[in-house]
Amino acid sequence: MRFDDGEKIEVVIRKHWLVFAAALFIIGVFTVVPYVLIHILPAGIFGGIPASVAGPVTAFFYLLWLLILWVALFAFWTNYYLNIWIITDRRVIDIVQNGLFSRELITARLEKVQDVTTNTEGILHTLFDFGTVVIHTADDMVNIVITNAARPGLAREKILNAHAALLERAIHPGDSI
Amino acid sequence: MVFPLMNLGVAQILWIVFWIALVIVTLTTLAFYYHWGRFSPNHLGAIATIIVYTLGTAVLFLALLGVLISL
Repeated sequence: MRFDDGEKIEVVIRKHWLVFAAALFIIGVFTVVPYVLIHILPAGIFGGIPASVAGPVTAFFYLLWLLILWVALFAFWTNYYLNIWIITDRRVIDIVQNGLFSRELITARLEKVQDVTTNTEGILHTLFDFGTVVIHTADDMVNIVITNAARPGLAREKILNAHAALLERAIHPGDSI
Repeated sequence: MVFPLMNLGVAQILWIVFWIALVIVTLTTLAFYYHWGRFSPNHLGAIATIIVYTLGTAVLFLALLGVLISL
């Protein structure tokens, strides 16, 4: 991501950490459940396979399962960490990492921002202060939506302040220098 | 008709699964490193993530290899 000369970052918005914590919890459950099942299931579950082979086979597939969960965890971490919204004093940049092989970048000039709305709905969202931020632009096709954004109220305030400062600079160009 | 894998022993099947997993994880890892190398806004975070991921993956593959050799 390249910035213009003198372009200043006003705020960087990420998804709330609870989004990653939820994924971590689910992966934790998927790690523990098979381990418990292995110890609960009867020893003769593998039918004709002798016990001396069944143990290593179970260990092999459990390790393989852990490997899948490990890769999934880091793929999720990549999506979480590289999904960012950058508000500069000139632009709104929406970087969406949809998966390891999919990345989307939307840029809107700050002067095209018309309104910013936030929506915090639910007990967890209210307690941990995260929600949806929608940046409405003059172009109907480009509305930037940030779901599960951390501190949406603060993000809205920063965006609107940056927008107001940009308009101020446009009206009184000499004042900011 | 006999399914071809039925003729193979358990160890051979597990070796095939191991190599398929190695290829898939290697490709995923390359994509993963590409994104962290190119797009991470924080070099320290990217390096830490890559070290943890690489070590964890290596440990799991070595454990798989250990199980295969013990068969």
